[in-house]
Amino acid sequence: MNKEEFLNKLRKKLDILEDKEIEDIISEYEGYIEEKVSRGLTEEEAVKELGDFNEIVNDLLAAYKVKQKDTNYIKKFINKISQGLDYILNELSNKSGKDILKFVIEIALIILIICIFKIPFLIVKDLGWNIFTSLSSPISNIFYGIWSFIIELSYFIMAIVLFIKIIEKRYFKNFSEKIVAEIDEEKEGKKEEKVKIKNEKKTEIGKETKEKSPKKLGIVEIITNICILFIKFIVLMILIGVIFYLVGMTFALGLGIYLLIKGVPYFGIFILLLALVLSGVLLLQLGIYFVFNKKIKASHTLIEVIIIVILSGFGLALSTVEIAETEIIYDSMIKETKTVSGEIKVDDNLVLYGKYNIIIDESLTDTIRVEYVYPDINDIEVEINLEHYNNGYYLDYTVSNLNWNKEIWNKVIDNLKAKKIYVDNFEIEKNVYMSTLTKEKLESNKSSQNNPSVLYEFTQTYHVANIEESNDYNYLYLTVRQFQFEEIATVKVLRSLASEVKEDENYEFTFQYEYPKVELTEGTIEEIFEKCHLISIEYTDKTGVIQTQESPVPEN
Amino acid sequence: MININTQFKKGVLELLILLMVKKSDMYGYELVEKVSKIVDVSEGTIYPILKRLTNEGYFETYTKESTEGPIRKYYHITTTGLKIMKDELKEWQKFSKNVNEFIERSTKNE
Repeated sequence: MNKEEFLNKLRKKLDILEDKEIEDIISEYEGYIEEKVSRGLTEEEAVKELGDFNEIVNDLLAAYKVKQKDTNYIKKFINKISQGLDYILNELSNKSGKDILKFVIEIALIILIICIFKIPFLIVKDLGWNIFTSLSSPISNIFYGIWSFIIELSYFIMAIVLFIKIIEKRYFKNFSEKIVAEIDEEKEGKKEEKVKIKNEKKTEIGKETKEKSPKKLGIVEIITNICILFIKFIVLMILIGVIFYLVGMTFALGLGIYLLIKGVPYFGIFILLLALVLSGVLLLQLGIYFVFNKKIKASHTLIEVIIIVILSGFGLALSTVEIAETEIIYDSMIKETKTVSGEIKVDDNLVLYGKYNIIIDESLTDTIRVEYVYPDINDIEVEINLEHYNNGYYLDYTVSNLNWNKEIWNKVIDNLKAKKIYVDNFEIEKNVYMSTLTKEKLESNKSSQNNPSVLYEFTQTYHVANIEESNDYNYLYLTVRQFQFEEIATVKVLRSLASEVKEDENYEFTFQYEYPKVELTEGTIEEIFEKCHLISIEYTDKTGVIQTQESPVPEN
Repeated sequence: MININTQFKKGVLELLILLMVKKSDMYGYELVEKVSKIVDVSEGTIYPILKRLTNEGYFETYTKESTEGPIRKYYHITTTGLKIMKDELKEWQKFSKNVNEFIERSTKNE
């Protein structure tokens, strides 16, 4: 390598330095080589005596760590990141599952904290918005844009710095020390050794103090701890739910064991139930361990999870078969019936409501016999209860003494053994005995009572655009507009109702109509005024919304 | 990765350079010649040390035309440089004393 080659190569390698510095170094080395040449050496020999090229470059760069160009910062940054990634991967592969879980949870927490920190930034941003909009200048938008950009940027930077700081502090203490040490390595000589020793001492001291007073924490850690406490509180609340779940499930399991002993062949459901109880126990265990900072034995947990998965899979398959084999009968389990009966006097307006069977019995002239047939479950008693309703009766009943006892229970178990389930709706058969004449009378009464019309009342808000006299002194013409729908119509209104009405104001118009005699099909203003009875017009300051309320008018 | 020997040498080199420049102002090549007579070191690595010491404010430089040829850059020690030199000298003396005593003791025991 001759002088020119050496200097060019050096220039290239030093490219990241400031141009002035490069020239300084180049001229210095040029000087060395020239001095050597003047003392009888060839250029090649002179270059050779300078030593290892890479070492020179490294030393030179190390000497300039303060005066590097921006590009070098980027390089350094990328370097740091790649080093960091290497370190993280190494650390992770050395850590157990629990540590990784902890790590993930804490990362999430840090993100949460950073999100919370957004709040003051938002407040400041809003403040800016208020100030800039109050200026009401056309460029206030631009100012606000710049303002919000600055705030967003500073939040972004703060978030990243905070994130890195926390992560570094919590996980990569060694890593940051490593970086520091590497930077120190660039400071050659004794100083480096000194710093290293100092660093070691520092970490030792740090470790000691950490062990002695673990409660001396920074704000970030305090916030983190508060968040962890909050999460623990939530987990505790969930645990209370889990406990209730477990109690219920344990009862169900007990019932299952009882049924199994009795010989009910539903093993699948039992196994499924067992799996559910176990999963509840596991959940409780994990929760308690988390809340009270106990160490979770990963192997135990894993075995439990595997057992639960196997049990629930097996149970699910088996119970599916069992359920498919089960016959569900929509009928009363008890075939024996009891009867209760009563009588009603027939009068001219009598109507009977409800669902019932009519049985003709011509022997009954002025009475109706009501008979209820119901399943005979133990001491059950059913009474006929005639509810008075619109000139007639509604056939109702009251049930008393419907008790479950061993007899029924045994029946249920016996049915289960035969894989039969009765879904009993407890239906009471209502039989009504009457003469043909009574039947006809009841029918005619019912039809006349049918569809009684109801008086409905509703209110609509209109804007009165124009008022005009009509030919008839008792009436006025109002031009009204409905909100939202730009519908306008001119309607005839009684002067007595509209005496207070002024133009360009809003009024609530209250209408009444009889349903089903009157039916509104289109809902237009004209239809409403035509078909309904306007009863009042009242001033309102509510605007912009359609005020429609509809309700039946109570009878007196 | 880091050659402890060269690191060690560089540490000593810094001290030597400080001492030499303290004695009288020198230009680069002169220094390189003198230092390489004392310590076996590749000449190219001495300039970076000069550069670094200058950057850290231990040296200041000025140029002077030589009778023989090119303009030369002379190095002159500053007051901070003197201070550092004294500190480093003390440390080195303590260090070498400890090492020497240890060597003496260990060779006696043999």
